[in-house]
Amino acid sequence: MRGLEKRRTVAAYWFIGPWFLGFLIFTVYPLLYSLYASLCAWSYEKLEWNWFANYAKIFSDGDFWRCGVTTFIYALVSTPVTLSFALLLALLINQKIKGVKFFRALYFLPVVAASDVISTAAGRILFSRIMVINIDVNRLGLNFAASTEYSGYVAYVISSMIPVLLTLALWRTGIQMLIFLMGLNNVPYEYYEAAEMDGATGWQKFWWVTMPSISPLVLLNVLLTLVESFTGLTTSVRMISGGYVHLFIWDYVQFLFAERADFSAAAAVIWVFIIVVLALIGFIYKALDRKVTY
Amino acid sequence: MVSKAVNWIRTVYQQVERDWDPAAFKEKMRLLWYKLKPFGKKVLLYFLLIDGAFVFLLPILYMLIISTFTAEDLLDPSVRWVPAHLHWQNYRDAFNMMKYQSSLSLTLLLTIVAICGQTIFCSLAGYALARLNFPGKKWIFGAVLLVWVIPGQAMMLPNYVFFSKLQLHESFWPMILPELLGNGLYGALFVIVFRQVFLGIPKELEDAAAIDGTGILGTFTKIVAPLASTAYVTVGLFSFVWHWNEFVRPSYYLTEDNQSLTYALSYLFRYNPYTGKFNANEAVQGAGMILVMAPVILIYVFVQRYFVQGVQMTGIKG
Repeated sequence: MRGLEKRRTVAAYWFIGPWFLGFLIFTVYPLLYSLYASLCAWSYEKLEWNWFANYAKIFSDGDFWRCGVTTFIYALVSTPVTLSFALLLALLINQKIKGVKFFRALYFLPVVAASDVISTAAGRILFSRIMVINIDVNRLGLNFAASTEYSGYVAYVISSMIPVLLTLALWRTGIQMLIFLMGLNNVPYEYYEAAEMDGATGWQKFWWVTMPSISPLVLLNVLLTLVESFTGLTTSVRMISGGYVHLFIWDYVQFLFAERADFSAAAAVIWVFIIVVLALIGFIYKALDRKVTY
Repeated sequence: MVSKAVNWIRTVYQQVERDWDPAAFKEKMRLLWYKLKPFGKKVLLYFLLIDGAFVFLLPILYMLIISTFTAEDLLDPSVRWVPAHLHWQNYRDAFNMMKYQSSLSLTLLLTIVAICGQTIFCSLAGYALARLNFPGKKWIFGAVLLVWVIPGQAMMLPNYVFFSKLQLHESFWPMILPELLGNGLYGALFVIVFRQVFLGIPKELEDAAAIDGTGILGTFTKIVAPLASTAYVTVGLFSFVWHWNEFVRPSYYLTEDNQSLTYALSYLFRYNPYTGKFNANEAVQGAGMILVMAPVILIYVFVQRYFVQGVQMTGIKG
């Protein structure tokens, strides 16, 4: 039996090995290198240690705070919107009525077909043609103009972001909807019967039977959506503006790297953001985990 | 004439007053309510379902319609839903502008490598995390979770610098090498999914195989993997879709003469601040979108049944 145990351990290392090797090469090494670079002055040939100068530099840059706050606002607003929409849709296609399978197949279609690229494209064409939305960005009171050279152009990009945002909010619910649907399928039918015997209304059944039963999946979905939404609309911004405008923190990182040719400052931003995001996710996990019934 | 009508109304009123029984009326209305309620609920549900489907499909339908417009139709406000004549030239234009053949073959290469690498190595890793015991297992699972939680965008630039040191930053290798080892786009999520699926397979089956003298790899390939086949299809499909639609990495590593489909599509949408124009008009843009989406939708039609089952079986639980 000892031999078998040992063989299983060796096999386990072979099983996990390839993934772990990839993890070391493509995640750990680049991350640690960027941490080291963030504490140095950047050049491709040689890094010179200069402590926290890069961090001091980015903290005193207004653009850093503006992009960071935009990213956080987007993540914290879009997560509940996406999730409530996904839950409503999941409840809708979980109804037992004729033809619901057909609708299910239709509702899953955007999950596979509609990516950020497609929804950016569709959102742009659709909203500019059918619902003529003209939003005067300057009146929104958001001071986004990043570089004066392109300020009219920045306004154009932001005003075209809003319809894209709506399309994305709709189409991005796919995965979350699937996860909720899985949870709804696994709620034992007897629970509903018992609740009905006690005279519960539909609303009460939802809050006291459905929600506790799917609460682990709600937690999973919150974390998933939050992580996703920190990416923001980077794809859309980059696609529409071709990289001239920085709206979210990743655009700012790209700007530091491509235009200022300063990987160290970019790495400092990345590390600040990773730490803040991990802290936020840990906090939300702790806060929600107490309410989850397993 | 008028008095006759008044008389008639009066008699009817008197009759009603004589026969009026509030309790019976209430009962009648209650029965009617119970009869109508499920019906009304159904109507409402169908209404919502159709509504949702419309909202979901409208963009795709509209792209199909607009892709046949001529340049004049685009400007004509009276042409909105029905094009005057079908202008298939748009597809030819989009095809040429996107260099469809070369970009399609590059995207196919990227997706096929990703599907193979991720399903094989993520499932192996997931099996080790689910069933095998080894020192450091907790730490490795923690690493998987950590990779999943770090926003993918944060990894882009460190990886770009890493690959540029290897002189690979102007090729498609940065999008292939991580995937070959089961890492890359959503690799950690797939490991977690496979782990959950394997945890749900009865352990007795594997024990029986082990007693019969099957090795660990044999047990995995002959017993565990076939049982989880729907999970393989689901993960494969998601890997395919996400790599097909990926935009950010191609925008870092690819160039105009070596591009993936999404990158080629974005070329049509790019706004040129100097000329104040887009590279293509909306009809051609719509045609380009259809060209990018069509293969995915075609595959979805075939594996749709699998997909719906698989997602339900995959049963990710927190």
